[in-house]
Amino acid sequence: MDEVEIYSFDDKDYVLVTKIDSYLYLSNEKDPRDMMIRKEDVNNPDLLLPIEDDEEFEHALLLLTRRKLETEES
Amino acid sequence: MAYSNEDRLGIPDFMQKTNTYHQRPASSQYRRQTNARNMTEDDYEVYKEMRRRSLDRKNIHAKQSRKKVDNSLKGQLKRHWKGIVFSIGLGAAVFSADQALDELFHEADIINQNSVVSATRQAVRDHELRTDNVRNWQLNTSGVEQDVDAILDNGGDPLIVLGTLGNSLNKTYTQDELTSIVEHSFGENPDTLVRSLNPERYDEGIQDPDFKADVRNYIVQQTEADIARSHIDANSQLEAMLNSGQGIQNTGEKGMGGK
Repeated sequence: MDEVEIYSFDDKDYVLVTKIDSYLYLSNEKDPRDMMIRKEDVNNPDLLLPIEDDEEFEHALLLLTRRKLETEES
Repeated sequence: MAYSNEDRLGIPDFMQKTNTYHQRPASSQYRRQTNARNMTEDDYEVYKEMRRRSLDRKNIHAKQSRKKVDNSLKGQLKRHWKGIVFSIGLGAAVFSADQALDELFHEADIINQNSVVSATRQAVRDHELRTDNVRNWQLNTSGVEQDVDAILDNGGDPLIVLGTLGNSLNKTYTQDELTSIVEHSFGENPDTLVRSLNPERYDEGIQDPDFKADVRNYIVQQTEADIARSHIDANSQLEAMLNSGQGIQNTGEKGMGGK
């Protein structure tokens, strides 16, 4: 068994797949297709802020691309 | 028999009998840049929803905790992210990120306009029973088989039907259903069938990224050609109406002038 960080809201548990800078990459534990990127509020870690616009969304995706998720898989 | 690679990926005769392929011009352009864009329609839908939820202005108040989960879960979730992000990342490496996204959006919009793609997706959706837990996913395969048969009988392009089925049923837990449907409607195992089209290029079978990219480009090209034809038809009708209207106007003018 792996221990993972969970963010619970809307009666669902979202697994923190990875975190880069303040960006949180979240996936629904029960439905891998239910995914989102949110930002952590430095003053309130329980508050998940929206991505501002498309430019920031693409920036967050490119950060993830560079991180190369496949290298993290054991 | 020997298949020509320019003939719709060398689609076999038994598939050609159920479509209108022979009326369409052959082309090799659909093979352009196939390795640069491997995003499936399914990936695109997930991507689109992910983008929407990420940009949703509503702040989320979450409760943090730690939890022990099955070893495979995190890897499974990462692979899903990788499937979405790397398909974009590969595009971004070739074009600029903006161009890659624009092209993906454009292609997906075109594909969504294809009537055979829509009908095939609908055939799967209409017979799908799904809860939040994918382990409870069920499909009435005989219902899908009947609908797919009807699409093919009505002239639906078998290559588009086959590729769309592969995309709609591309999860490990849907493989048995995909096999059953393709064996029923096409008379052959899906992987065997796709490999037979081009054994060197499609060695991974129906989920081979090259096959998916080729079918995707083929659908885009066919749909764009259909749209262009409909515009030509519409222009011809408009021209006929204008000519007809001109005739009426001329008649009117003559009539008025006659008084």
